[in-house]
Amino acid sequence: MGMQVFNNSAAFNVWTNYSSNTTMMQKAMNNLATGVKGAADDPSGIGISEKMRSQARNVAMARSNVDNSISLIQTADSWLQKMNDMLARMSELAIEANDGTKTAEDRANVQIEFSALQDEIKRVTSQSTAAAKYNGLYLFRGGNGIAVLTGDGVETGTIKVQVGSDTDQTVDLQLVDLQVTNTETIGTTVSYTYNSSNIATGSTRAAVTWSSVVDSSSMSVATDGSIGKISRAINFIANARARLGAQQNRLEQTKSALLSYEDNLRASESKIRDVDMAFETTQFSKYQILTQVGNSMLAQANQLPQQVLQLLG
Amino acid sequence: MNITQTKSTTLMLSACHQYSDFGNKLDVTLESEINFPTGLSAFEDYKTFTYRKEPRLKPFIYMHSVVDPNVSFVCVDPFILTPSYSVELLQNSLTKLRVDDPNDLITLCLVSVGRDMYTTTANLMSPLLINSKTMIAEQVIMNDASPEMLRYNVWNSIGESSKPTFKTKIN
Repeated sequence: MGMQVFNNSAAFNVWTNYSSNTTMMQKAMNNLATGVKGAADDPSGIGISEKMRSQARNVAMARSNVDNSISLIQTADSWLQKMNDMLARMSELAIEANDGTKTAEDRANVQIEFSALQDEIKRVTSQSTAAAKYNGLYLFRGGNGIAVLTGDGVETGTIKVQVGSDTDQTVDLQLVDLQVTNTETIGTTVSYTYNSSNIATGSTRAAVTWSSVVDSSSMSVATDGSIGKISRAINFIANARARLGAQQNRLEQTKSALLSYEDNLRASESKIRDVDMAFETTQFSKYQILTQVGNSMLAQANQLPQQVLQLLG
Repeated sequence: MNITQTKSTTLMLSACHQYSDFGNKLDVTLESEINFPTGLSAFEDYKTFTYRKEPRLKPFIYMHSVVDPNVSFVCVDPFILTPSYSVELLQNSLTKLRVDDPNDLITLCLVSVGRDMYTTTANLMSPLLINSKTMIAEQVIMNDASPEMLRYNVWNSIGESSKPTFKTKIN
């Protein structure tokens, strides 16, 4: 439940209303922009400003980390989308193979396509030759995606990403293991036994592992219950995508917060370097400057921004 | 005498600095204090600000912390820049601001003053909402805002055609 704000409070508008006058706006902007302070003017003010600059740089770096994490997630998601498509096709083929009117040759062709899809999933996800990578990290080999130096595996743990300028401001990205060797249970299938009057007399539950679906040596298109197993695999992928989506959503909120943080620093900095100056400068006429500062200062006038001169002149 | 624009204005400004009293003699209207119970992002320790409406900077508003005037911001009414602007208020914000009627709200956006007026931007993505009755305020972040909203070019909203030309000579 929320509400929407479309304009400012009426009392406030009394003051801002006539600002729609373009000339007024231009003058104000010019007044704002004309002062750019050098370091010598207000050492303490600039000190704060430099501190802010370094803070802003840290935050900008954290934001770049968040951006990278988001692109990693997006890359992983597009691969998962492909895998979902392949599994959906496998499911179609499993149904097609259960057609008694098909010749043996037809079935053999269906099987060729089916196992080719399984092998493609294996190629994308498994072993050190896995295709699904982001910046060298394996996306579907579990762990943190970093290959171990010896052997064919990846390091355990999660991907830790610094998303703020404080030490503990990190998020963990968990990569799902979709290798052909993964014997993790991804769901169960239930099969029923019926008596002669077609009444269920019993049921058997069987665990489905990821490996049993995508390993072409353990499941063919004609394997009993292949349709149910593939459907579990499709759910498993959908679940992984949903988790990635939630994580991406969180990262995008973090990104918005970091952008606001950065921009607040930037907005505050504008004042220290610019606005005080605008308040002061606008009070001076050209003659006040000339008499108070003296002719020797004229040389320095060469270094004034044009906008300041416009004000003075 | 021809004038060229360069970066350093140090010497001239030092000379001006002793007259900074002028700044205090401006006809400023001090308004009541604005309280940010949770502070502003990056400035969590600064919870109370006052704002002044400086005629020369109209329609911009100058807001500074009551504890450290160095912490200050230039703000602007976003509805001037883009009349189609709107802010969605979540229940969370409504509770924090203790507002029942959206008409009580003042919406302001922080302005980043650029090197010149063409590069001045306003942050329409994270507006400040101020309950004008209680002067309790909060900065809200609109997560679904487009990147342009973060650095909305103030000049563009005025219109390119009206760009004035600057004098480059001084007598």
